[in-house]
Amino acid sequence: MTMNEEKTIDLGQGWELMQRVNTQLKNNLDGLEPKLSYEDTENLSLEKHGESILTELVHRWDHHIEIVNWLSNCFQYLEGNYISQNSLPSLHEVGITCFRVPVYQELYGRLSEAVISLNNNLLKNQANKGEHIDRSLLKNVLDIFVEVGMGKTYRKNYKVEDLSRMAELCSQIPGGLIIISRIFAAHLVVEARALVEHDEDAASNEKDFVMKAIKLRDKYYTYTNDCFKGETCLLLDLKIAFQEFWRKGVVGMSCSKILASFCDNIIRKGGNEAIEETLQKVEDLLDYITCADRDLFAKFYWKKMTQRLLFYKNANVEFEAFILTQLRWHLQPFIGKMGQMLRDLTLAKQNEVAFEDFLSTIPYIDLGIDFAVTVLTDRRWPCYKSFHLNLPTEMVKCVKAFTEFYQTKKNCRKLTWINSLGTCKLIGNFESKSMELVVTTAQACALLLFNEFDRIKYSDIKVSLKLPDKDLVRVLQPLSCAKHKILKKEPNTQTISPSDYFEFNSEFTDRRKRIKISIPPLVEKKVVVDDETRVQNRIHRSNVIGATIMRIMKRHKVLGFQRLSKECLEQLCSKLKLHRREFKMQIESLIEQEYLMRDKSNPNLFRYIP
Amino acid sequence: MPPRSSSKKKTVPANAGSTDDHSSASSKAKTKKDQIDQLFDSYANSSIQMIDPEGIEALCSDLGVDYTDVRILMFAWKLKAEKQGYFTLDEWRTGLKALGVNTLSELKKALPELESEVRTPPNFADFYSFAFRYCLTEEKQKTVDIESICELLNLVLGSQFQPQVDLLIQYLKFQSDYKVITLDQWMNFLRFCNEISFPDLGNYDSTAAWPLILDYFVEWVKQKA
Repeated sequence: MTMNEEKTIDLGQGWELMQRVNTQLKNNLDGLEPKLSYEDTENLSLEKHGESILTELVHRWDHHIEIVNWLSNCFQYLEGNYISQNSLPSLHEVGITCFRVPVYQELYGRLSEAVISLNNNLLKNQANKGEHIDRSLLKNVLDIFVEVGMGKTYRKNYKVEDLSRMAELCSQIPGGLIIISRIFAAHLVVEARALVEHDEDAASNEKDFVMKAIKLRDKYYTYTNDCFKGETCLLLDLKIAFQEFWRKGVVGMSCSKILASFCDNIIRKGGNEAIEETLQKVEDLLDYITCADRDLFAKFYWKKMTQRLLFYKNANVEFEAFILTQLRWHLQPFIGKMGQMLRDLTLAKQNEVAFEDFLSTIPYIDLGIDFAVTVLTDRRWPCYKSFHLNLPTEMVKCVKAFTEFYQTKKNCRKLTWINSLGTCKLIGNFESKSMELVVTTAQACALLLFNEFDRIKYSDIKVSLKLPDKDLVRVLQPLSCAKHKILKKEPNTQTISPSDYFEFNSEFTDRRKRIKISIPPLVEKKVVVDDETRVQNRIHRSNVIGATIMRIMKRHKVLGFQRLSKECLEQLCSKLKLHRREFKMQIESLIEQEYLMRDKSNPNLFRYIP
Repeated sequence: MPPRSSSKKKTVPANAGSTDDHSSASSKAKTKKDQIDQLFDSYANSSIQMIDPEGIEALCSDLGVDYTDVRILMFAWKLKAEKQGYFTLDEWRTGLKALGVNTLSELKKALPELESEVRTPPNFADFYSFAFRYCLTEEKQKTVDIESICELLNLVLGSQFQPQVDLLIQYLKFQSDYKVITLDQWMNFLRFCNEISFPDLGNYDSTAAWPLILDYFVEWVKQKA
């Protein structure tokens, strides 16, 4: 008995109590159902076929449920505390499993047969208005199927024709469609859950996961449309089931993020004929996520899009614009921003030409290097760190020239140079050959110092660049400690320290002609976004729990803590797993907000404040 | 014309009345009231018509008690003082009347009596909750920061439940889940001290309606042991 682990009272005392309750219970049960044994059920049904087996099933089921309810009531305390705290399956669930394993697993073949033949008989009789067949029996059996989860195999074993016939039949029984629709939706949940559980590494493979989700959705919609003629109640139930599936997310990742990454993936792959269709499917899935999640999706999409536009060399503004119009309904809160971003980039291209023209008209300016600027409209793009960097004279000249040029176009706008986003291409003359180095602006500044000096101290680089230590380490580390050692460092270690010396590594060589120096990514950003997601999820949960508590309290006005906890658990069991701590926290917050109060004389009692 | 004359009439008698009050201090009741008011005036900040923190400090030193003494908080409770660090004339009058004192020396003598009055159970719960509300200085403020709570706990419960209070303060300073304490949590601290056997905490039931912070506290204590 698990009860012993839970009870904080004396063990012996608790055990004795349990024994007493147990004996009493057994006596009562014997009176109710003298030969309750699942072997019996099996034997019985061996001889029974067709309708009789179904009748027997319904009969046994009724008894079983009565017993399960009885036991659940006896162990109410256990259910309200130990089980909910440890997220164990509820007593009701366990009771159902008890029925499922011996009865269903042994008999499902024969049961399905019986249901089919009953179906067919019913249909036949429908046609010739002949002998009356018990429709309520079929309805009851279907009810059991829903409850026990037999619906799963039941549907799987059917072909589309059978299903269509079933659908026709059910539409003739009052409430029949609702039942079949519940089976259907329940089965979808099972399959969806399997998808999530199966895909433990879904986080690393969003693409496959989303494709599977799309397939799942397609499958069910085909069934609904082909077999059930697109019945609204089925569509609705499917929608709810899908919403539930999405709300949970996968392995700690929210669905919004997964879908945004998925979009990012297909957009990076570029245009092909299938993309429109794929986007349509993504939109279908987006229909199932909540408003808050949709906003989050837009935000994730925006971040991904920013990265594509700024750092992805194959970024295609027209293509991005096309996708944007496709997904516009789901990107609502960010659509304006994103449109402006694309306009910025188009403008930058035009400016490039205009800038060249501008330079050619002024003979005294000779930049000596190619220089292109992308002007980003403030607040449309994420906030980028614009750290101060002491640029070499070559670059200062460029910056001046561009500022002058920009004044001629928009004289009242202020330009802020975001050095952290810049890239530079340098030609490195190494002993073996010369190679093109793609580096950040700050790295270029550091490397250019070696045109003048062979060997430079860390502190001197720092003075020249005027960078704080934290940033300077990020600049120098990939140049001297990583794969491509453009700089020789003394001592030759893996970390940068203020006492280090640097020297140009003329012996460096590589088989490629162009080398991109990667920069260690800033990890903080990711943490912030993920935190946001988690916070939103927590807010959603607490809203649901709070609303449930208030609904219950509004009805009861005054309620003890244990009963409130139990009712809340029952009402929420389909939506979320309620943890005791979360529940307590919510109650406390409602007290603080003066929706509830503790009873003055009994602190375990809560009162509703109207 | 007529309205003007009537307004004049109103002001003149009022003035006359008040000067009359001062000049004819004949009845006993009036003398007493005057004594209370005079005492008030000697500590009050005349610009705001209230005894301000400075005035309270002066009062404390005249009474020979420390500014942070629990009896001053009890005195504030008796006065039903609204705002921390300030006494209004109304609060002062009703409070001193309720204590049955008129002068400083009488007030000094009344303090021990006040303390034993507060220490009776129903009064104490009221005083205890007053102590929390007294710390709410901002408008719409509903919670008190941990640091103030620790001081307050020590002040109001320290003498009765020293070991519990010490441990609770130790926990509050250690934990990082809570930055502020609500009235409900505060009230349950008192209930905890009153009801839960110490130091074994044997009758604490985390499945009952105790605030979560006490669940955490008990967990922490048990882990520590």
